[in-house]
Amino acid sequence: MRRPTFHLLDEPRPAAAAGAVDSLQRGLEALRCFGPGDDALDVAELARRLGLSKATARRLLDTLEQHGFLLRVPGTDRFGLHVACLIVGQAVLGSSLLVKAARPLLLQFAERLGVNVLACVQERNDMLVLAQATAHGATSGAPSAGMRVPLAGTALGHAWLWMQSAQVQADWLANLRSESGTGVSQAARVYRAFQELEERGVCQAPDASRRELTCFAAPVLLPDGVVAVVGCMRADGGGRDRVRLERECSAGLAELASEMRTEAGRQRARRSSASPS
Amino acid sequence: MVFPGQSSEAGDAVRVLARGLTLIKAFCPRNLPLTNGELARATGLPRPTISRITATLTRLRYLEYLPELASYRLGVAALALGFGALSGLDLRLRARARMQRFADSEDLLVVLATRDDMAMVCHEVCRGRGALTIRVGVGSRLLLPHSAMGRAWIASLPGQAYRALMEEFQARFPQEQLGGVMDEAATQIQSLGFCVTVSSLEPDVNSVATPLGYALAPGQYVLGCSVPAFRYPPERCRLELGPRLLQLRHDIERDLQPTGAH
Repeated sequence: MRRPTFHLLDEPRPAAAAGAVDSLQRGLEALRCFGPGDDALDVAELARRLGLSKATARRLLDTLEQHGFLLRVPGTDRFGLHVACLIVGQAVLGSSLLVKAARPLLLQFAERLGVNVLACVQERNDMLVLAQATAHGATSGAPSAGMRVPLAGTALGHAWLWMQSAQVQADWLANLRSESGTGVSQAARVYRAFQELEERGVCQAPDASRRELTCFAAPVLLPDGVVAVVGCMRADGGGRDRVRLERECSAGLAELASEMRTEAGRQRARRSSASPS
Repeated sequence: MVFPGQSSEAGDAVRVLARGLTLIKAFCPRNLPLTNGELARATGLPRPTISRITATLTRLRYLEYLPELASYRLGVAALALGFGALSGLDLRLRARARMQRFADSEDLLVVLATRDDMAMVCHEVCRGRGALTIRVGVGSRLLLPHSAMGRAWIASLPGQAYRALMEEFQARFPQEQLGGVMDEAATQIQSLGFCVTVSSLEPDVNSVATPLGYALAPGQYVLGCSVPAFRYPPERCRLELGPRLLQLRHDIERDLQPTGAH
C-alpha cells in the first residue's frame, strides 16, 4: 500500500511556488462565490468576494473560462458558471454510494409524507445537499443537490454536530458564543436540539431560508464513519397539525436514517466485491 | 500561458490553476479512482506536478485518497464548485416549468443542453409520464455529431468555426461520413429553425432540436426533444413536433428577456 505524496506540500516552498499553489485554491474559490440566482457576476464583485485585486481575479477568471468552468457574458466584464461545473458535480453525484442509497428511500419518504426531504453531509461551515426529493404537489423550493445550508442555527447542522466528538462540539459552541448578538441564543438552540436528539433521535428548527417551514433532521452514521444527515421540510399548520407533523416526521426520519445506513452498507459491500483486489 | 507584460509569477499562478482544472476534469464523467501515474497519462502532465496538485486538492477535500487502491477520486466538496448554483440559474428555473409542461402534454423527453468538447451535455431534462425514449439525465453526454442538439449547435456556428469543426470531425470520427448529415441539418436550421434526426442516437428514436437565444450565453444552449419513431415518424417530426418545439423555444426566450423588453 502506497501513501499519498503529501510530503511535497509539507516541505518549505519558495514564495513563488507557494503563491502558485494558492492560485489553485483561489481559482476554485471563485466558483464557490456564485450562489443560487447569481446568473453572472462582474470581475470587481468577484475580486471583492475573493479578497483579491481585480488584475489577479481577472487572470484566474480567464483561466476558469478557458477550461469551461465559467462563461463570459459577451461584450461585458461579467462571468457566469458554465458546463464544466455541471460535469464535475454530476461525476461526484453519479459515483456517490450515499446518493445511490439515498435516492429511492428519499423518494418513497417524500411521497408517503408529502414533504421535501434531503440527504446532506458537512462541508466547511455548511451542510452540502447530495440528494433531494419532493412529493408530488408539495411546496417546492427545498435546496437541491450541490446547494449549501448553513451549519449554524439549522436542524441539519445541529443533527450533524450532535454526532461529533466533545472537542468538535465545544469548538463550535465557543464560536457561536463569541458571535456578537445572537451567539448565546444560538448556543441555547443547539442544547435544545441535542436534548431532542437524545429523546427522539430527531431535532427540529425553522427552515434557514423560509421561516414558515419547519425542518426536521436526523443524523445517519454511515458504514465508513462519515456522518450524513437526513432532513425534511414541511409547512407548519399549527395546533393539532403541528403535533401530527412532529409525530410523523420524527418517526419517519428516524426510520429513514436507519434504512439509509443499511442500504449504504449494502452498496459499499457491492462495490467492494465488484472492484478488483 | 504567459501573456506579454505579465510577470512570470503571475504566469506560474495561472499555469497551476489551469493544471488543477485539467486534473479535476480527468475524473469526469465517471469519477473512477485514478493513481498519480494514470492521471499523468490522462493529462499529459509530469508526475511530480500531478503529485503536487493531487496533494493540494486532497488537502482542500476536492479529491479523496483511497489508500486500498493508492488512488484518488473527486470528493464530495467538488460538488460545491458551482453545481448547486447552476441549478438555480434563471435560465434553468424559467425553462424548467415550460419544458415540463411540454413534456407532459406531448408525452416526450425534452432536454436543454450545452456543448463540452465533442458532446452536448444535458443541463435540464424533463420527461412525460409515459415517455419511452433514450436514457438520459442531467449531466448525460450525447455525441455532438450523433445528436440532433449537437447538429443544431454546429449548424448555428459562423462559417469559419463550422469549417474548423468539420475538419476536426474528420480526424475524430474517421469512419463516418458526416458531411452530408451536417449540411442537411444546417439547411433545416436555416429554413425551418429546427433540425430532425432519425435514429441517430438510438434505433427507433427520432429527435428534433433548435438553438436557444439567451443573451447571457449566446450560441451556447440548444433545446431538443426525443420521441419514439413509431409515434413520430420523420414527416410528423417536421410538420408537427418541430413547430411546437419552436413555440416552446420562443416562450422560453420571451421569459428570459429583461423586464420591460417584451
